[in-house]
Amino acid sequence: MLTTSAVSSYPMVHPLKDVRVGEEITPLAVGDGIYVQDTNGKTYMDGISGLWNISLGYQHPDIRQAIVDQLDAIPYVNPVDQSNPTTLEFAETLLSITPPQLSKVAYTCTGSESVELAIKLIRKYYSLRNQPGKTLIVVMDKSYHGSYYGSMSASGIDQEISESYGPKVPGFHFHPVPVCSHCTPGHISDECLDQKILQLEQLFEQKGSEIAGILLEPIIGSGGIIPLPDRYLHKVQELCRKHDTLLVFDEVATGMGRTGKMFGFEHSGVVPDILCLSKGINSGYLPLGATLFSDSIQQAFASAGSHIEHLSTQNGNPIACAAGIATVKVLQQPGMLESIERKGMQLRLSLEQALGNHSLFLEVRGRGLMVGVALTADKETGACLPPERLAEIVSKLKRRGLIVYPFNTPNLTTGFHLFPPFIIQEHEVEKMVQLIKKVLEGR
Amino acid sequence: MLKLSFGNGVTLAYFEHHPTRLFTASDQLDCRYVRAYFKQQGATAAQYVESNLSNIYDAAEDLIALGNDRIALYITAANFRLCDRLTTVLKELDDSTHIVWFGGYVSVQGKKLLDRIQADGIIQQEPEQVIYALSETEPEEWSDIAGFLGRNEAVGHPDTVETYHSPSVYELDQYEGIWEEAAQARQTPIYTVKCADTLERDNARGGLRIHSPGRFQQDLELAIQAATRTAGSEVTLQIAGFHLLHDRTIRSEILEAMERMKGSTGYQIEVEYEWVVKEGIWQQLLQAGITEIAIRIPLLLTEQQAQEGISLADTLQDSQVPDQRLNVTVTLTDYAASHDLTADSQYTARLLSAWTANKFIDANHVRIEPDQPGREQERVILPEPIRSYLLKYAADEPQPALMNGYIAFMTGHYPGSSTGGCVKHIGYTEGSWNPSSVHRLGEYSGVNSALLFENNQVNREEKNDIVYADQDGVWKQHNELFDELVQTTEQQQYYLSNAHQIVPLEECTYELQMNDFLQIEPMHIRRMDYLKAAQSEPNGDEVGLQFLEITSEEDLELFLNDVDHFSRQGKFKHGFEIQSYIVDSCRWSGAHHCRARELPRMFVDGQDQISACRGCPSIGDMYDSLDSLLTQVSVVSDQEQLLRGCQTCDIRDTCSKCSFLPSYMNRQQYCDLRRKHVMLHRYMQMVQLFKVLRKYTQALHGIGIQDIKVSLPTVTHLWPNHSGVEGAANSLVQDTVFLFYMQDQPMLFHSVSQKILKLNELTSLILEGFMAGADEVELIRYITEKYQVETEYAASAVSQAEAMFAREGCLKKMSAKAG
Repeated sequence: MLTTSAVSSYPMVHPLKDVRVGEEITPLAVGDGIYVQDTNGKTYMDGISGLWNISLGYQHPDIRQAIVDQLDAIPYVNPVDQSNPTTLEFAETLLSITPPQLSKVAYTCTGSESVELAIKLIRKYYSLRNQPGKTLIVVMDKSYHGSYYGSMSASGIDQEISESYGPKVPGFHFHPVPVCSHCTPGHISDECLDQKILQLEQLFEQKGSEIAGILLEPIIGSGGIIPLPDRYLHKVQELCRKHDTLLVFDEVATGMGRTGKMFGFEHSGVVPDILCLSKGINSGYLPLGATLFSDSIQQAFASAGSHIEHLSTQNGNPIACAAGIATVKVLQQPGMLESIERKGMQLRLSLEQALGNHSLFLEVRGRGLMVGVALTADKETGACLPPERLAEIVSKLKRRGLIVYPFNTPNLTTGFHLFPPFIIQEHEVEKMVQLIKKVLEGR
Repeated sequence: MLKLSFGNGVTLAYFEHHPTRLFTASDQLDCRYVRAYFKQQGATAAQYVESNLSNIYDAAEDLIALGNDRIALYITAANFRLCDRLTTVLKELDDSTHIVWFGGYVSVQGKKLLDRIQADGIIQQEPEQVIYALSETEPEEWSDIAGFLGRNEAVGHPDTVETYHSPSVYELDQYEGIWEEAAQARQTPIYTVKCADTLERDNARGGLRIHSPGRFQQDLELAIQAATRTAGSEVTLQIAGFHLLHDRTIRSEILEAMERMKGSTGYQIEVEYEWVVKEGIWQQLLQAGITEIAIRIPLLLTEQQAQEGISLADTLQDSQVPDQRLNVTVTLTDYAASHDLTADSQYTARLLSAWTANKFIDANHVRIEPDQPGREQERVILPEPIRSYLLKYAADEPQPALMNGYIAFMTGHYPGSSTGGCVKHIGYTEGSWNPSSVHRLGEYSGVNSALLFENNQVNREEKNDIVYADQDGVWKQHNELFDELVQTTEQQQYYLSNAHQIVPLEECTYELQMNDFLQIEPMHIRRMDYLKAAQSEPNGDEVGLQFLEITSEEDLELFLNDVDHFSRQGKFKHGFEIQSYIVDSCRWSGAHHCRARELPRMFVDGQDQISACRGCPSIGDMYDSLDSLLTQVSVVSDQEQLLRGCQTCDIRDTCSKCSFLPSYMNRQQYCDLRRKHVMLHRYMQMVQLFKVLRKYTQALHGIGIQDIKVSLPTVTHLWPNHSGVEGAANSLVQDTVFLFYMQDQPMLFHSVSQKILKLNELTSLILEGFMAGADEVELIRYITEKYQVETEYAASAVSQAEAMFAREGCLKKMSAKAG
């Protein structure tokens, strides 16, 4: 056999990237505040907080200390048969910052796993209640919920990719995200929204008896930062109550202060039956997630004397929970959430002001410091930017010292995410905006 | 703990000029020494690294974006001109940026150089400490820093300057090693280990700084570990500064250290001629495990000196260890010390001729030291004896990167990763440019881009016999047009990287002149219409490159006839089909081959109008920004695809969806043609594959066009295929798999893994069956009949072949079955 292919010595694969990618990625060696530095000594502003998780920035002294203290005490406790004061304390902390409807915490390690558990809870809940036909879960067709089998099957975007990993977990209905061709994803008119609400009502009328749950991101994240209108969410809640359906919010991205409130659902006031968390739960320092659920779900299991069939060895790791406690303490400091809202507003307004007239700029979307900059090939029609142009812009931003993450939802929206750490300063927000402006201007 | 932010340190940049004649922003040994010193002091310096450089403004913006207002550029002879222009651009963009130059090449240059450039200063000694001091000191106080020559300073330095340390013999040892850090941080490997340089403060020792043998050995050991871990055993480590070691004892100690560490890694060093002919160092070098030796020969040897070398040639040649790969190169030095170069260089030429004649050296491995420290940059015109030697013995060096670039420009086929935010090739179709718009080229073209002057009317006589070596180490020949281009671009503040001229000679024949490179044999190109090729059957092997153009309906018809013949017979009708490139063949190729929307090439006419493809309508003019041109080209491309209904078209996965059609064809005709000739994309792939095999392997050596057969879903050679054109839709074989026969030997090429497999007849038959959509039952039945074997044997053969094809990723849905 002859071969002309060179064997790469690169030892690992990067998630969601071509398996051949690696050598060209310069490793990051140091992080501090909102900055990271690669092994060549080049400093970048981390505009996406790691992968939306390092919400309080790198080297936060309180989180670091909490980790060290817990490490010195005990690094691991078997979550099945044992417990630990830190793990219990963090569960109490999470319940204390969520509405009383949510009464229990199940720990996970990741956002994907939190969603995985939510799917199990929904189906088991109705099984316990002798409604085995109620298994259908409604999700948005442009949503992303994770890459484990359940969460991947529940994800509306990238289905053409996940399809080839089939068979997937069945029983998901992909409902169109409430955007329309007349409006931009960020601004839907009342009339168009009425249509979307009608569509939703029709769905429940047709399939209400089968629908066990509806799983939503209050702001569609990976799909391009598309906030679901409050009126839409209230209608969802109303329909869930009417049709005995569990409402689940995937707040892996929106939770823990990211939108300027502790949780994204606080903006609309619509409280879910199940809440999925991860990423910023402990500022991303260690793998941790949690699925919070309502008392009625707890009761269903309790009445049947049933356990929840879910376990990962590291669920509720005490060191990860210690980091979580420290994170919540920082988030609860007076003025902290308000500053996220304020800086988010500053970022969005500055972006609009700086980019408003640029031919590629469509709109800025988001809440708090969860921001999407939508770009277009044609301002009139809002057509998506060709992927290669988007990749070029994102790569140039990185070369100029700003790390962002692209979104490309075909036929809907293209652009990039900004999820800066909450500790970003006002002058750094301005610097970020100026850098983006310069790059879009072709400089 | 480090406190990170933008703008709290120094940025280092080194623009490396590769043998491919392309620049990258790379890491570099001396820069690592500086960074290691910063780390020693608890600080950091950033290294600008970019493998895919865009234009010079982009590089400058990148550097500024690193946030440091102090930038240190590492200067070599080859990057001098680029850095000179970059410094000017940096100053234009942000005049608060302080730029200093460093490196052995500029360290000994003084005020005179500073007067010619816009840098704020030159680092003359101890760059590690001086750059650190610059980062810690306000620019107004830089004049107090020993080893730094600022713009407003007198030559030399006051005696009162602070001294950082006491010079010692092994002064380089004061700097911590770079290798452990490099390994820990998994930095890109550097294949150079330093034993000495000339950047010491105490000029009394000629500025020499040396590593102790112990420290050198330690560095060598770590460097070998790093190199073999990342690049395997076939690595040659360059030993920097060895030729500076005039002390024989130290030299011996360094060689002993190398000998102790020798193993699978080779060494490359430079030695002085005198050491070879007078001091008998040769055996010691071989013993130390040296595999590449650059002998530094003064250009002006005396007769006796030359004779000593000539008489040694046989001895040197004979002494080589048989199993040790030894490569000897020559660097000519000290060329400025004569009034009569012609007379004085004759003995050197005699030596080189003798060494070449007895195969001790290869004339293509003779270089001239680009520039001597302390001298202003200028061309080194070769004295006649050396020029004659070169023309007699040297062969043209291939320029693969530039040549591949030219082919991409002609065919429109650009690899996926190549564009990088700038236009790679700008073609002046009418042979000249508008001087008033030249400055606009700077925005479009990158540091490694090329201008191509097509149909150039320049007379060959504008080239003369003057051969010279320029700063980039390439032999060049005086070329008036090229010099004019350089002059114009410099006046217009545009950094010209490459400018090739396509000079018409006679009918269909052109000469491709790359920059002003010395081309010992002119590179002839043949360019003709397809119609003419079909009539004259030109042999593409007779010229450097042969291009066929489809510019009329007649050309197209003949081309499609050949494609049809291929689709029906699995054979090529003419040799020129695989010997030639089709101009703008991207138009006829598979999905994603039309890269026009990324604008990797553009064409400028005499009125400054810009087209994305050859001979197509303009998308803007020279006063449009690159951004607006890119947007325009995307809009046109999207509109075309919308109008043609590409998104829902049956052949969307096999059609390049050409955005800019030629004048002889409308969009309906293009779509009809692509739908009718379903194997067109496959034809283009096969033609390309055979071109690659011809170029890079011996696979097609001695094989005629009649000996080549290709298997297609429409035509198979072992399997009885009756599916015809419709067969394409039934194929169970991935499009990335190519099955062909060379003199009846079946070969499989997989373009994803880049593997070529030799198949036996039975396996090939089975693959052909899958290609034609046959199932296992059909295959087993046919094999049983054809080879008169038991059904079980046939079933086992099919099953094994299927498993192998599935394992190699050759099959479509069937891959799930075998596993």
